Amino acid sequence: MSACHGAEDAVAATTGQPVIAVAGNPNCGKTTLFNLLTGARQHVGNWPGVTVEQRRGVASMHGMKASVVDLPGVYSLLGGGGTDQAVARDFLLDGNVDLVLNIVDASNLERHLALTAELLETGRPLVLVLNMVDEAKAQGLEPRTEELSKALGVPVIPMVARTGHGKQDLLNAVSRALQTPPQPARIRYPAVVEDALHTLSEALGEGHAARRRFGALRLLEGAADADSPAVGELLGAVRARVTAATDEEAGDLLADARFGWAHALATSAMRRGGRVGRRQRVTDALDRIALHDWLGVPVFLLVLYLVFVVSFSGGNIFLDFFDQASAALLINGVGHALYSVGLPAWLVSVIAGGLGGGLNLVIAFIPPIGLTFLFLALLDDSGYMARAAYAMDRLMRRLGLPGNALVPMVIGFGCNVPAVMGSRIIEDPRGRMLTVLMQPFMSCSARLTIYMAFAVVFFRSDGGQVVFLLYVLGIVVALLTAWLLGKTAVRGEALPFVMELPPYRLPSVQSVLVQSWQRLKVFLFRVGRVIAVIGLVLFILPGIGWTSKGLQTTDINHSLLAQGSRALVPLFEPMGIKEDNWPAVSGLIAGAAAKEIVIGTLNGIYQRQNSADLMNAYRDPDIGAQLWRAVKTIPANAMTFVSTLNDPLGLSDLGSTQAAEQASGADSATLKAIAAGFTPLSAFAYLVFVLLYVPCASTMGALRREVGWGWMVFSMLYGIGLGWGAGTVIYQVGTFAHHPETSWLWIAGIVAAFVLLVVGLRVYGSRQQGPGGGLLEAPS
Amino acid sequence: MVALTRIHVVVRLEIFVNDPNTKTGESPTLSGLRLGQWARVRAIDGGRFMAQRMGMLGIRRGVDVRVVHGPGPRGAVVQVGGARIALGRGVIEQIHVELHAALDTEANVKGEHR
Repeated sequence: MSACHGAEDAVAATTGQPVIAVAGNPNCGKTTLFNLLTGARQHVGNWPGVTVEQRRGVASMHGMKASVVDLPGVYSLLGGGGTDQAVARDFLLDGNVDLVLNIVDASNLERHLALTAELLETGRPLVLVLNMVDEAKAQGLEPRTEELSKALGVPVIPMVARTGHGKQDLLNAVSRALQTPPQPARIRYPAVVEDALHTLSEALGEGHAARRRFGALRLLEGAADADSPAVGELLGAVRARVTAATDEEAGDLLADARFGWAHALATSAMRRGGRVGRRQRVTDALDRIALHDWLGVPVFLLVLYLVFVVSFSGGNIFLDFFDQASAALLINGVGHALYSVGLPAWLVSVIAGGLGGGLNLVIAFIPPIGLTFLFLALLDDSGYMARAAYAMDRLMRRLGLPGNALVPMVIGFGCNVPAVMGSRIIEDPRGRMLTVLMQPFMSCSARLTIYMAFAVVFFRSDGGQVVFLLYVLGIVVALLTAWLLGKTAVRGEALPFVMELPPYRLPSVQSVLVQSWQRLKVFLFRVGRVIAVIGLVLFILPGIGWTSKGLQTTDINHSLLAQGSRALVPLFEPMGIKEDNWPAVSGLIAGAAAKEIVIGTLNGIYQRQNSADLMNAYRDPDIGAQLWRAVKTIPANAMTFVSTLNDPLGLSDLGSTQAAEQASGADSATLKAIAAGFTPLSAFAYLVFVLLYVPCASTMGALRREVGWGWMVFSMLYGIGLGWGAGTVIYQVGTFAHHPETSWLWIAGIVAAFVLLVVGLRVYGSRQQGPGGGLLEAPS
Repeated sequence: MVALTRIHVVVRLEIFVNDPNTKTGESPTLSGLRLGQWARVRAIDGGRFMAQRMGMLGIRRGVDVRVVHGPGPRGAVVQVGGARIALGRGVIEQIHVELHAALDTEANVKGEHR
C-alpha cells in the first residue's frame, strides 16, 4: 500500500563505508529497525512480505557512518519462499557485508533462532536484536539476554523497534562490533556429519572457509545441486557414509541438530512467568470472525466498503472547504494580485488558471484521499491483512490463484508499481505471473483523484458507493482475468495456502499517522507536481493550431490539441463521449503515461476555455466572502454526512434528478466543465475506461521487469480493449432505448471479440503445454 | 506456553494415541484433528519442497502444534511456538500427526481447550 512509486527510491550506497545487513524472518520488524537507524520512512506493515527488494540507507553512530541494507524477510538461507526471499538469501551469502544485524521476534524465539543458526554458519560477524520484548513480556516471557549472548558469542540487544526503545544500546553494540568483530559460536554436529562437511568443503574450491562450509551444508541438506560430476560423486559417497554410521539421512541430522539447538537455546533464554492467555483469547475471538468459513469473505468486503465509503463521505465534509478556500486564495487571490501589479492578462491566466487551478484540484481532494490512506494504514498495522488473504483463499483457489495474491492487490490500492513487485511473495512462478497481470486493474490513488472529481460532480451524495463500486469492479476484473488466463494461456494449479498470521496489534497512532502522511505527501508532491505542470503545459498548448496560413496562435477550439483529440473522438463515441467533449479524450491519451495527468489535462483545457470569465473574477475577487462561504460548507456537509449515515447504500438518492446532483458541489471551473461535458452514464463509462486501460508507464515498466516484454504488451492491449469494451457496453446498455439497433451491434461485436480473445488464449495455452512445458515463457 | 508444556512433557510418560476417526495403522493428518487439540508432527508428505516449505515456518517432525482455527473446508490455523500459521486444505492433509494425550489433557486442565 505504499503510495505512488516513491517506495522505490533507495538511498545510494556510499563506497568505503562499512555495510550492515538487516536480516530476519518476515514481519519481525526489519524495516522498522532500518527506519529507526537511518531516519528513512520506508513502508512498514504488520504482515509478512512488505519488503520485497533491498534498500539502502546511512546510519551514523559515534561519528562513524555505515551503510545499512534492509532486506526482504527470509525464513531460511537454505531455500524456499518467493523471489523476495531469494534476494535476501543471495545478499547474505555472497554480498559485501561487514556486519549482520539479525533481528528476531522475542515472542517466537525458537523459530527465529533457526535462521540465526544458519547465519552463524556463514561465519559473518553478527549482532542479535531481540525485538518485540514488550510482546514477549505480555505473553509472560522474560528474556535472559546475557545468557543468550554468552551462548551465541555475540552481543544481544533487547529492543522494541516500534517505539525506539533500546536504540542507543544497539548503536553502541554496532559500533563496537564494527571495530572488533564478535566471534560467533557455531553449532556442533555429530562427528560423522562434521567429517562429511569438512570433506565436502575441501572439495568446493571457491570462496573462504566459512562460505565453503556453508556450500557443503547446502549440498548435504539437498538445498543445492552439485555443480560438477566430481562433487556430485563425492556428495553421494559422504551421504552414504553418514547413513551407514548413524542409520539416518545426513540432511535430517543437520536439520535436527540446528532445530534442537534453537529449541534448547530458546527454552533457556526465556524465563516463563506471569499469567498468559488474555491476548490469546482476544486473538482467538477476533480470528473466529475474521477467518469464519462463511463470514470471512463478507467481513473483508465490509472492511473495504467502510474504508472507501467512510473516506469519501467523511472527506466530503471538508472537501468543499478545501476546494473553495484554495480556489479563493490560489486562483482568485493570486490572479487578483498579479492583475493588480499590472502583469499582462495572458500571464495572469497562465499562473492563476493553469498553475493555481491545478493546485486547487489537488488540494480539494486532500480530505478524502488523506482519509483513505489513514484507513489503509490502520488496516496495514492491525494484522488483519494476512487474515483477509486466508479468508479469501478458497475463493481465490477456485479462480486458480493462491490466497496470498490478495496482499499485492491491496497494496495496489495505493499504487500498482509496488503491487506488481509485491507479487514476488508468491512462491510458484505460475501464481506469481497471474498475480502480476492482475495488478493493473487495482484502483490506485491516482485513479482515485479522477473518481473523486467525477463523483463530486455526478454522484455527490452517493459518491462513496460509486467509488466503492469502481474498486470492486477492478477487483472482479482482476480476478476474472486471472481465472481466464489460468484456464487458457497459463494453465496449472495454485500451490496450497501457507502464511504466517501476524499478531493483532492495536495500531499505534504515531505509526498510522506517519504512514498515511508519507503516502499523502507523495501524493501531494508527486501527483500535485504532475497535475500542476501538465495543467500549465496544457494551458499553453491549446493556444497553437494549424490554420490555412500554417502553424499559428489560435483559439482553443481550433488548436492542434483540439484537432488531434477530435480526430480520436469517434473511437470513444460508442461510450458516450461527444465531439465537443474532446478534452476528455486528450485526458485519456495523456493518462496512459500517468493517471494523475488525466485531471491535470482536463483542468488545463477547461480552465483555458473559461479564461474570459476568470479574468472578471481576478479584477474583483472578494476573497473574504469566498473564504467565509467555504467555511460555511463544513457544518452543512457534516449535517449531510450524519443524515446519510442511516442510508449506507445511498438508496434514497436513486430517485434524485440529474440536475439536482449536478447542481451540488462542482464549484471549480474544471468541475463545472466536467458537468457540462458528460451525463452521469457517460461519466461512469468514462471512469470504467479509466479504471481498466493502461494504468501508467511506471506500472508497465514494473510489469516488463517481472514478466517480460511479451506479457507487458499483452497486458497493455488487453487493458485497453477491455476498458473500451466495458465502457461501451455500459453506455450502450444505458441508452439502449434510444437506438436499439446500433446498441445491439456494438454489444454483439464486443462479445464476439471477447470470444475470439478466449479462443486465441486457449490455442496459445495448448501450444505451451507441449513437451517441456514452457508455460511461463512470455509470448513472443 | 508451548515451551512450558514441553518442559512438562519431558518428565511425563509420553502416551500417543491414534485418532479414533482414522483406520488403525494409518496415521491421522492435521485435517482429522478437532479445534483446540494438541498434536505432534510425525511426517510431512509432498517431498523435500513441502518439507522445506513447512520447516521454514517451524512445522517439522517432532514439533507440537495446536489447532486454533478450523479444521474446515478452507484449512486450519495452527499455533507453533509463538506463531500462528494458516494452512490451506491441501497442506493440512499432508501433515501427519500423533495426538498427544499428555499435552491435550494438560491444555484441558488449564482451560485452554475449547
